[in-house]
Amino acid sequence: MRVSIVFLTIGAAGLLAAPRGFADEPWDGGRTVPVHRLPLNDSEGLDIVPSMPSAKPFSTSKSCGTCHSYEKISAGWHFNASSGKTPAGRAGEPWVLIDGLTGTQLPLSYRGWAGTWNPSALGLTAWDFTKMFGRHMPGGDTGEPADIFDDTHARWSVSGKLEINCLACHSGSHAQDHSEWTRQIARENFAWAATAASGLGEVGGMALRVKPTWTINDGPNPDDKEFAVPPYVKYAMPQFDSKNRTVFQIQKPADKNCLNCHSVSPSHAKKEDVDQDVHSRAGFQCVDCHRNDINHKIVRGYETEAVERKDASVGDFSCRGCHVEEPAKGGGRLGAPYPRHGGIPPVHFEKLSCTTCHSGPMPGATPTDVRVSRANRLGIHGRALWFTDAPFIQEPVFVKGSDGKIAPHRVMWPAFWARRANGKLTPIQPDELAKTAKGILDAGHQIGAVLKAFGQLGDESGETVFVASGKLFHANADGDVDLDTTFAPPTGSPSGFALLKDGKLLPLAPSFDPAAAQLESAVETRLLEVLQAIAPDDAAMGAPSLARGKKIYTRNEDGSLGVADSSDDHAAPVWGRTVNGKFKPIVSEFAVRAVVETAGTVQSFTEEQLALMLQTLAAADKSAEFAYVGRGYVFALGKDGKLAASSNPAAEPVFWPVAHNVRSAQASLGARACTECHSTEAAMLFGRIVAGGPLKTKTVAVKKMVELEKLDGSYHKLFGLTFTMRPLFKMTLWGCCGLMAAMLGVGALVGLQRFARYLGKKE
Amino acid sequence: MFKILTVVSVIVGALAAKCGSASCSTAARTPVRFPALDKLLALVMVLSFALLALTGFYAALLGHHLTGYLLICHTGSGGAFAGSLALLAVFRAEAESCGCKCLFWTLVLGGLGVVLSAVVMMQPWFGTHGQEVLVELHRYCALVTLVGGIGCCGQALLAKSA
Repeated sequence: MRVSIVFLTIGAAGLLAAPRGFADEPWDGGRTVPVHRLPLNDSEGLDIVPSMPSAKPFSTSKSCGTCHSYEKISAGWHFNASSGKTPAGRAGEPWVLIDGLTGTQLPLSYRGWAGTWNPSALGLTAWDFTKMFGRHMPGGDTGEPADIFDDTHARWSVSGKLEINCLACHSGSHAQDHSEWTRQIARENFAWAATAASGLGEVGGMALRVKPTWTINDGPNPDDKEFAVPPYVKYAMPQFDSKNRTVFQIQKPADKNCLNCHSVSPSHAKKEDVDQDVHSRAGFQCVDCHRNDINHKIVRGYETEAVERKDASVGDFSCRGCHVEEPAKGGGRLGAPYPRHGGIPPVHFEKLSCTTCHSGPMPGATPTDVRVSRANRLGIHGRALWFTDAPFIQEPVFVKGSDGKIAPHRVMWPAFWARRANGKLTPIQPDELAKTAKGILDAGHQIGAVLKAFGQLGDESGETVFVASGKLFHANADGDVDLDTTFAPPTGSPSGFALLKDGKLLPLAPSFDPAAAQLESAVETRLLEVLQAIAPDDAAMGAPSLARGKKIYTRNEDGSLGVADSSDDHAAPVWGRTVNGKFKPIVSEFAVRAVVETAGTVQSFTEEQLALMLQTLAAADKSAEFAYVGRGYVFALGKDGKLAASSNPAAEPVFWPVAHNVRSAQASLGARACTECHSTEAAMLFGRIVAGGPLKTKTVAVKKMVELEKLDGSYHKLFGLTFTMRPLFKMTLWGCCGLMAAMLGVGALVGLQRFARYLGKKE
Repeated sequence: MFKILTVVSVIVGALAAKCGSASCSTAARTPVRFPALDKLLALVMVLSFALLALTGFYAALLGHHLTGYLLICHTGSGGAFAGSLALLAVFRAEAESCGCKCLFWTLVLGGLGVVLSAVVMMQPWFGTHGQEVLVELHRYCALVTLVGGIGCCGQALLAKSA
């Protein structure tokens, strides 16, 4: 009896402990999404009491995973890249490591797609990757490493794991907030991110600031309620019932959720000018075609996917799967119109993918600059308005895909600093370069920092701006400077810092005569105010000074104004610092040159800066050879110490196919005339792709589409030329046909006449 | 199938040339009105026909698509062939002797089919399936033209040597 009770108890416990997973049972046929009124579970599977101050964030693996197999979901495309166990599939958009300071835009992928670098090979751990790209990851994958103690500099025990955020895709709540998710990732509040983004609770504190020994079970920090506040959650109680349950507004993933990470738009376009995909306009949702079952191996929709996955049903959701089933045979799925393709020789369908004519922007002489969610960090709103121009991505670029068909692709040219050994380049992570780059590549930031310092004066007499070479610069939110394209300083305006008020440039300090024996009191006070603003934190960096005429005015440590003679005559006031009695402008001429040269461009540094950076790197580590990859070339210092560019496979662009936006049949390439592709100037064949990147240089790789398509340019020029004669050619052929038909007709009539005569004679 | 039919067409054309050579002797022919122009047109027609046959059957027999420079050559010579054949049809409508007529008009009939299928393909009238049918039609008309072409040329050569 006792044995039976023990077995029964164990059995019951086993049933309760095992994941129920009843949602994985075969579908019962009901076509509605059931109401998800559920209690929340924490990472240990315990029910959360939301009213408790020490309530933990909910865990999706323990809350959603109660009914849906978390293990199966984890195998989905969104969550399995780093496992290295799944087929890579057709190349997709890589993750791009961006660093504005060092001009890095490095394509990364765990899937081994052509032109990408494996993050592990570069020394990026799961922690690094999650911190870097968690903003646009739906959780899981690198966010849930098997061994959290594997990486010594990681802080998984503080941050918690970044579980798959089911709600990122499946929530229909208007409170679902991708920006909040990003904020929590930046704060290393990984385990709290899903809760915060869902709107079910308000998350405070920053795991980033908490000592590494803290764990979620330690609770609040009694010693610090201002800075090192550990993450916590306050649940929104009105959203919970008396049984501590809440309603998850679950639905099939809505487009707005997909577009958080999968938007593509022309750079600097107006939102109202951008058209939707033709399928979206017809009422389709992303998941109508991009379907999946519990394993979350979402249909990607490319032509060869069904063969690669050995699953014919997947093929139904490619372009051909829906559209190229003849109406007589029942037509394609979802009422897809059957394309007539009138007058288009069938060879086109063997050499080109459907997307060549139907997807992406219409090709122009050069491809369109676009911004994509993940690479350009789009869709994250808040106070931080970051620079989204980099990386420089363009579309459409026509390249032969893995199936041998020409298809439109997006292109990005890698840019990174590298060590070169035996001709092989190994990228250097931006963090490693940051120290060296300071003072060389941060020209804009140097000026920006001074503008920010002057801005602290709270001056009501105008905005502090920087003027150089007839250009005016404002400080921007990134700490850099922006060129003012609407205001041109009057001719002869001196270079340096000034005040801008009511469209007029005023000196930062009132003008005075440096030859005068003593300065007016008001002038002296103002000078001291301004000098105080640019006083460095570290006195060793020098005393804040102003050079004017043959005098140097310095703010002494006691707050008095010191005056010293200068060997140089400064016609215009120059702000700077005096170190060991030597005056140095606060912004070097080198920095000013760099800022002026890159002003108004999307580039961020010059060849001069590049050369100095390479020299500095080489001086610091004589055992290594350094290079910069960008604009389609590898730049390195030659034996003569001059910058030299060379070709290298590492500098070649990385491509990934364009699938959307699909254009209508009327708007497809070639719908108006064959000459859209078959002419001597056709963009699809002779468009030029200029290598984009952060370096301002004249040594830029330029490729023609035909090169990338691996086609014979001379032939296509000649073939295009024949199309200028085609109308005449067709008319001639029609004429010949008419003549031949007429002669045959006459011949037939003559024959009939003779036959009739023959019959008459016979009678 | 197409390969076999091509071989058959060549044999039929050669046999027809041999059989019809007697009736196609110079004596049996009605003199043409413009002999120099006739010769020139015949030369253009023969040369373009040879080019068309070489480029077209080369691709078809090897199972390739006719693309690249071969296509330009094929299309260009197609124009010359169509023009010269149409004019020859006008000039020789009366001149051809009875024995030659049959093969010549076979050539014209095949040529009409070939040219018509080609020019219709350039119009936006037929969709993908229609285009595929037209390509097939073009190929089979080319076989008829081949019979007529080999027959006519063979007859002329045999008659000359006789």
